Amino acid sequence: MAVDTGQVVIEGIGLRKSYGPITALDNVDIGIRAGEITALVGDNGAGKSTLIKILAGAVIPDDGEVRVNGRRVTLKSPADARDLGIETIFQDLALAPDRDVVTNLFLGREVVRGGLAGKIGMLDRGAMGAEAHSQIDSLGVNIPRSTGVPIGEMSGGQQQSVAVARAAFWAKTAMFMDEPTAALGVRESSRVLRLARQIAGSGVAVVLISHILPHVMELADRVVVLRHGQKVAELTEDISMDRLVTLIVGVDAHDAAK
Amino acid sequence: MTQQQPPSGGARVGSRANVGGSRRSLGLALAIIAISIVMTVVSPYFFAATNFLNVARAVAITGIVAAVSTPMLISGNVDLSVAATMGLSGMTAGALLVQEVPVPLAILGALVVGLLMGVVNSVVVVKFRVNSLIATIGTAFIARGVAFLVNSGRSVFIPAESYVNLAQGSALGIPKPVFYTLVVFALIGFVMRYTKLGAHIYAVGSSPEAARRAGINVPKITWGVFLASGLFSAVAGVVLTSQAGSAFPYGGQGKELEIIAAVIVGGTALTGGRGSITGTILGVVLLGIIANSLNLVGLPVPYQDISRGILLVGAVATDQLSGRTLGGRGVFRGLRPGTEEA
Repeated sequence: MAVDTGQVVIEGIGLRKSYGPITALDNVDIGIRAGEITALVGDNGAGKSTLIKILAGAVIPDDGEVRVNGRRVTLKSPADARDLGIETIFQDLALAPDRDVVTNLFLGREVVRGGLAGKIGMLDRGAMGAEAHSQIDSLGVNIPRSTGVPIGEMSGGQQQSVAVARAAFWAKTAMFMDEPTAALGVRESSRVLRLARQIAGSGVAVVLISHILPHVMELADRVVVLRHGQKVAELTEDISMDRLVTLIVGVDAHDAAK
Repeated sequence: MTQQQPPSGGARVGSRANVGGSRRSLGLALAIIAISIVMTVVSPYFFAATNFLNVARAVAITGIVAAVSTPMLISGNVDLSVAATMGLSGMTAGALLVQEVPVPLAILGALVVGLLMGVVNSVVVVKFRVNSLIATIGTAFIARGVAFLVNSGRSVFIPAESYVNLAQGSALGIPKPVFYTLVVFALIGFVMRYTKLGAHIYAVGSSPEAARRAGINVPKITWGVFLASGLFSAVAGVVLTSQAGSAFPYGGQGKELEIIAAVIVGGTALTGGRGSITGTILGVVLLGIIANSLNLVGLPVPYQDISRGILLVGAVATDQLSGRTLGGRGVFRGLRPGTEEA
């Protein structure tokens, strides 16, 4: 990647979003850095998903601005974000279960042939297959290579690996992961998280939303804590379980336990 | 949004449906061959060019609609108004021809009626979010009713010879409707197998939410399959009335179930996302051969219905046993509370 590690590639400034009387996000600033894993933590309703959706173009903020690589952008849809190299991984429902790995990697972004054949929308399966397989190889993902096998027949972890491989393939700027391991077992979770680290290592900014604090502590270079729609902390060191819990719930966990 | 689900399709792990897709085609081909061998022994009339041409002629018109119903089912929708559209578009052409409207314009009129049916179905399904099964049962009643109103319930004798010549008789020794059917199969088969549009139709049927998130315009795909369904049902209506030399308000009546049976026997899932034109061709041919065989051995028509029923239930039961589940997707979206994904 052309961008240096540690450089802010996506910046949210003064982001606000309300749903009726409920303030989901209240004047939040955030900087997402290339090559880093930024974890976004907070209780349910703290505004994590709203924030990530704004940066991914799925939600339009009431106020504030988003900058990508220093330039102010207006993200009206996930497609706008994708055009800027921003990919999002959801915990489910992001893949077509009846289609194979190659088809899913290129879902909605199919490669067509050149010339007249391309004008009538003829697919270039050869090119897509070759690119997909080199991507799978470079990530070292353990998914069946045979074409034509619907991914619905694979394990949950393999399916999520396909989703991650797809995001990594298209993410030039940033990759958002919203509870990527919520539906997975322990071993499958660690496989997906290892991939996240690998992708950050290639210079992409990775943002992880997770309720599982051990994952956050193990993986994150930077932790942003949200509470009631406000950013209450941004940590890069001394990230302990106690400290995170205290920040997330807003009281000292030990005091509360007494 | 409702309850959390495991990663899409998690419940389907262990099914071998795709392998089963080509296995289904192989099974159908073997069934066709087996029936043909038995019939060749049983009936001296079976293994003859004229008999095969009879089968082809008999399935040609339903074949056109079965072809266009394949992407419809693959997209996770169903159109039960196809037969009524055949009837209404045929009556439209007939009524226009009686008024001495030139043949090309009469055909155009029929096709426009088909497209209008597609527009109405799309609006009801996309805008009003009515499940396609329900929506098209409704529009089928409407279209059939209008078809009866066109000429006060009477059929129309078609005076224009050039219109009748389009589908009556043979060319190069092959019944003319068969050519139209082959062109439609080739066209739709090409789109589904080789183009981006086809890939998007499969994706929408497999998971509308995944398709939407991948930037595929799901409503546009839904519009597309319904417009195509209306258009090609109208084509079938034109071929039907041309072949018959008259237009009947009840033209095509009851064919919708036969057509969908052929598509499903051919391996296309009512749940969307899976299926192929090759399978549909084999399904249409198998049902045609069975009907023909029962005719040749002298069993009356009701037995054809019974055999169709057994074949359909048997084919889908095989799917279930091999792990293909319905799981509240496709056509079943929105029929049960709590399964709506989008």
